[in-house]
Amino acid sequence: MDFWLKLATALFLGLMVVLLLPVAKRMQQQSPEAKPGDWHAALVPVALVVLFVLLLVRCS
Amino acid sequence: MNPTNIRVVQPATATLATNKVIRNTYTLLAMTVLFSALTATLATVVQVGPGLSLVSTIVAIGLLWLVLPRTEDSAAGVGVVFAVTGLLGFGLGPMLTYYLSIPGGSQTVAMAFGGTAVIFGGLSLYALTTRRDFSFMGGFLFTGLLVLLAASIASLFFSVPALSLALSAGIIMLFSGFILFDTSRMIHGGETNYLRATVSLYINILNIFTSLLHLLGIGSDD
Repeated sequence: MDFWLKLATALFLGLMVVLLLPVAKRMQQQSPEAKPGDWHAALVPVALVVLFVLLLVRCS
Repeated sequence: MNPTNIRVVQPATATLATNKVIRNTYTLLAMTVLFSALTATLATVVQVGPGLSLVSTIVAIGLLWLVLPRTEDSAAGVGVVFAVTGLLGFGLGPMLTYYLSIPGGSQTVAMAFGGTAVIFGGLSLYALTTRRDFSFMGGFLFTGLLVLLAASIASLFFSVPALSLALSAGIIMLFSGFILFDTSRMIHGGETNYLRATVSLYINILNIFTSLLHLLGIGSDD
């Protein structure tokens, strides 16, 4: 990728960061507290995704 | 009207509305994925360059941020969703052209597509059947997204293979979380607009697909 394309991509990604910053702040303030077992219920399927991806990488 | 009746009627109405949002979202999502596959194929056939691909992606994000919020409650919004997803699909052209040109590339692309379908299907089924509320993840996911965007900027200028690998793995994990979060928002009434829900899920799928393709491309390149 040439320098100007990298620069344009970086500016675009930087703009995304600027646009998403207030959304992230609002989400942090408004998100409800996790109840016991909530993180476990979310992390188990994500861990299974990781194992599945590792399996795919090994098969490729 | 008796207030007791209102309490009985409201949950049933809400359930019907939720089911309608879910049904419409998945129908439109299937159509937009198909449409973006067509635009991606077109971009591959005409050998679109990285510059046009970037422009296509920027226009798509512009439509998403500026036009969709104004049209999301009208029929025109459906056209905007197709435009956004079509342009994002078109933007995949150079990446797909590159992977299809390397030995065993078509197999890698097919594996990434199939893997993404399995991940999306599995996580959606999990969120829909358990009906758990994953809204508590919102702050964590959006902060994680900012971190990954910043790391992506760094990886553009510092060609470190380990960073690139870690980014792809991180994107797959983060957008897997977003699938749970977005699906749960539809179920629990946090998202009542099927156009917004479709675009959110589409972006999750797109990011998982591109990162999986990257990881499988590295994995197959001995």
